[in-house]
Amino acid sequence: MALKTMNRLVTSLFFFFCMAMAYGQDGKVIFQVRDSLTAEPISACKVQYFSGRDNVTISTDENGKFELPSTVGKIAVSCIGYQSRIILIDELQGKVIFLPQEYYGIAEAVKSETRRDDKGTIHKYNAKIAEGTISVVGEPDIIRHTSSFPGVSSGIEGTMGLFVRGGSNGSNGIVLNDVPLYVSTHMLGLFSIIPPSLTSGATFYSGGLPSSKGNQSSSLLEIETRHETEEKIGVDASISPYLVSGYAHFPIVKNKLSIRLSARSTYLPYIIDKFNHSDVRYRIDVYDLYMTADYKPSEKHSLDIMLANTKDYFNDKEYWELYRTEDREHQAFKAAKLGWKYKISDKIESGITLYEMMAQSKKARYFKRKRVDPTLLELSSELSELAVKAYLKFTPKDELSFKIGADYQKQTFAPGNKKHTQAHQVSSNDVSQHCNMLSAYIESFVKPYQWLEITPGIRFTHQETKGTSFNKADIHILSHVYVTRKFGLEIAYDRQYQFYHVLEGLPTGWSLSIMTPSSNEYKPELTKQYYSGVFGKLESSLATANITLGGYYREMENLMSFINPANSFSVETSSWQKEVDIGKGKSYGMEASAKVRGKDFNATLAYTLSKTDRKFPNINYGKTYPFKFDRRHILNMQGQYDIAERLTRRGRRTKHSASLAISYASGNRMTLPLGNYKGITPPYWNTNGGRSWGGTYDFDLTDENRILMSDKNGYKAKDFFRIDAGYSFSVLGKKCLNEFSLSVYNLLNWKNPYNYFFEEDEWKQISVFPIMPSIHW
Amino acid sequence: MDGSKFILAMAICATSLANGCVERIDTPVEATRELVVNCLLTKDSVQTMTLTYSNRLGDLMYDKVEDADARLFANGKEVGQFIRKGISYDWTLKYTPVPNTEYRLEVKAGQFPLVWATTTFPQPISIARSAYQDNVDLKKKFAIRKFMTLERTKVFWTFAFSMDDDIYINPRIRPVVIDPADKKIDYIGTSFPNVDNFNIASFNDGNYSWNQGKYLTYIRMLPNDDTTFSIYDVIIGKVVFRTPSEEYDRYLKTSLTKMMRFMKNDDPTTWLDETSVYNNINNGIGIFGAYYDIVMYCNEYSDEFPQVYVWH
Repeated sequence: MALKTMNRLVTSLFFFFCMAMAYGQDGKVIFQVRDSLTAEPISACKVQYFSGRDNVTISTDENGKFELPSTVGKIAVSCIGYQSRIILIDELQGKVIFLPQEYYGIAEAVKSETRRDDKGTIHKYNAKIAEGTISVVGEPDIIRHTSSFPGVSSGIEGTMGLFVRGGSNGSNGIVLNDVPLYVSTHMLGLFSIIPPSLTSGATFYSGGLPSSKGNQSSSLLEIETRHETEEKIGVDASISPYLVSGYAHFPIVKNKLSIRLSARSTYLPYIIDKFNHSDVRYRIDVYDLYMTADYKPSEKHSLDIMLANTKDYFNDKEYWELYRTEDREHQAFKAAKLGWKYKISDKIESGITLYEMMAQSKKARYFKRKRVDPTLLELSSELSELAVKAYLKFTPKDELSFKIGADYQKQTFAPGNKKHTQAHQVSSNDVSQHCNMLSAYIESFVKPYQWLEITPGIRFTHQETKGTSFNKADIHILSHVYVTRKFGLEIAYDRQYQFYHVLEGLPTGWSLSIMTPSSNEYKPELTKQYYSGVFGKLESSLATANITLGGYYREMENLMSFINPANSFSVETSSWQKEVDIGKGKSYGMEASAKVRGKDFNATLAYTLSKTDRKFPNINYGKTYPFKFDRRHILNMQGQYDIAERLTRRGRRTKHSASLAISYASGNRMTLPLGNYKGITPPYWNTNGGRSWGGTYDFDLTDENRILMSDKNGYKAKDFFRIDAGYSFSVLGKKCLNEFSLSVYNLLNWKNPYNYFFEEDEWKQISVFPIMPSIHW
Repeated sequence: MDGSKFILAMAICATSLANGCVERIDTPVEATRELVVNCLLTKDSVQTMTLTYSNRLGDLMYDKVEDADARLFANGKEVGQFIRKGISYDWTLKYTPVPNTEYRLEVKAGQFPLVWATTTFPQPISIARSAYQDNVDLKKKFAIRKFMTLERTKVFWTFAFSMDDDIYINPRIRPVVIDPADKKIDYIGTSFPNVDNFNIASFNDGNYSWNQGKYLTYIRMLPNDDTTFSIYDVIIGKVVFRTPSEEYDRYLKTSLTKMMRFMKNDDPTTWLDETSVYNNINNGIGIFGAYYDIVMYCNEYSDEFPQVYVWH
């Protein structure tokens, strides 16, 4: 009996073994694709391999799994938002394939931390996603992408002015690698000073701001540079209609010390020179230079350095019979940063950051008359800052973490320095204002139940400046209530102070030359904001969608504005105090967004319905008036589709993609002239005078004739509409990625009005950006 | 064009193609016809007011108001009715205002609702000529004329005229009047401690190095304690100190600001201009204000004459 049983057992085992062998030869192997950052499975990933001569494409299921014939030796795995990988199966350890998020720094992630973005007020994205936003200059731009989020109203078309939930452009905080950017754009706001090749990603907060970052009264955009240490040398070069750029990274000590260099410059001057047939000579220099270095001496310590130097320089020279003049305009940003992180244990992390930065705007006029000593007059505005920041983060468990920290910032504002040089004699006035700020904060993440997350934070700031001091507390509370695992409520409250003012008036996003610290006369800006909304995640085998719907209410105090925006171009900076007013604002609205990601496509949609007012005592006779960028409706839709993707026999991955963006917004508000009426000439105007005031045709109209203006921002311009389209082709080889893209800004050549004006007895409209094709390689 | 405006012009033009970035459009706004009232009370014995209608943009031929009932009230009591002067825009009233009195103007014309405004006739500033302190800035070659305010002042305006230096004027002669041959000085400077810089000589002016620190024709002095100050560059001439009512002060400043915006015809920032000229006429447009002028001579200093002249 025992022998019979034994025989049966052996036979069964033998049979099973044969079956297993047969299965191993002709069957399939199951693999799984996971996010290398969060270890979450990634659905709808594309997997390509060759079966005989055929190129086969399959996709991962909702659990990130896919089946592969056991005979396949090499596959290409790709997914939108992740770095593609070519994998040799034999070299793979285990059955899990990890895909790194594209350009996202691994070191920054806490894998166990619940993602708080895509629920209404916080949006994370990386440089690759930002490329989907087509810009005027054909350059991917990490800042411009924020204009596609709900609650964000753009300023003048094509520029970087961001007006978030009714806030001013100067009230936004933009931080690059822990260094605040008070100058963040080139060329009047056409594109940012941050090269996308240097960045790993960004987080945009329209609410629920972290207490670790203060001194802004509206949104916060945190941009991180790449921090991973490199194994190999990498080089990137690109050219577009306005810029030529280069980037390189190389290891100094493999896996320990890496350096990155980035340089961009415009060749616009050569284009202008080609078309300039006048006697006026122009010179334009626009460039940015960056160097970052990361050093990881051990698993616990990491150091990073950043050096930045950006410049915009414009110069025009005019030659006349008896004299010559030269006008110069110059903006610059320079920064040096040193950071150190120490991972004391798995649960405790600390860090120190030290930086110095300078943001400057300067204009000068050189005047030389025959037989007279030359005169040079300079007006400059500058902000320099030296800061040290330290923090300690304690994460006893996944559901609980604390972060405490302190910052010290020493700032010097110089909003209106004047220097006069004549016959080598120099006279100057220095109106520097020194300001010291000391802040301490604590923020935490608490998940007392599976269905509840709370992120409260408080930040105390003591500011001393101009013989006065302020003690203020920022409060931030962000809460998520999960009704189900994928649906829930988001509630946020923010009370935040900004301890300096940037004059609101010019809507281009250009960093204005007037930045002044808070004082008794100009108290810190204050914003109080409430937000509540619902969020949800829908998943299927075809696509994943994150949707949000919410509403906000915001009150703003101590806003500073030019009484007449035109003065921001011609007022003497030393007399700006006479041209400004302090007031308040209010904004409320509804926001909806959707992000859809499928196997071959991703799409975003953002809609905002809002109303924003301002009230200043000396503007519009003290009556409430609409904010200039009070756009009642804002709709942004963007989509990217992978037309074709294949793996060549040489192991290269080729990809064709198309993108489309549709923008619609209610027109911005304007103050327009309505008519003419008879006025009273200035005293003794018609008395026999010397030099008249210009004497131009238009001017003569205004000595006795007055122009009747509408209420402040009382007229709404025509609605704004634009379609952008793009196509890109890339070839990813073992060592090199070639990417070519063609984009068309304003595909339909829609003439969106920049401004209306009355000239030669008729009304005219000026549109700034017609159809603008560009190529980027 | 200065650097900043150059940048704006380049940003607009260099990034736009020539294919119709400027185009004609239908009229986006239409204004209704309104009654325009302009009246500045002065220390003269006859007061003048103009009554017209507003027009659409670009039409500078204003229609006169043919028939209206316009009355002036002082502290609530009627002091007279304006009568139209011939067929001109002007309406006149024989009346001499009293300082520190509140005046109300009411105009009823045709189907328009009652139009009204108020102002207070100002008390003139107390100011004296301090000729013995006159001086010359040898470096800049400015002629400096000295004045003293004798008490705390409110806002007042200053402007000056140069005279033919062949004419000798006895500084004791009163009243001092502005002669049609007097030339208004384009740029004048002051050492008054509190001045509105809205019309300070522009950085962008070709003669800036010569006019640096000076003001374009008029100087708006802000409230200040009594002080001694100078006006330059007035060699031989007349200086006017105008004390405005609050309404006229705002009207004059906003009018000049508006005019300054259009001083250069190649300035693209005129498109951005949103300045509104001050208007205090209820149910209408215009200005109802008042001012009091003090005019003083500025001659070469001489031992023959008293050193300080106080105006009453």
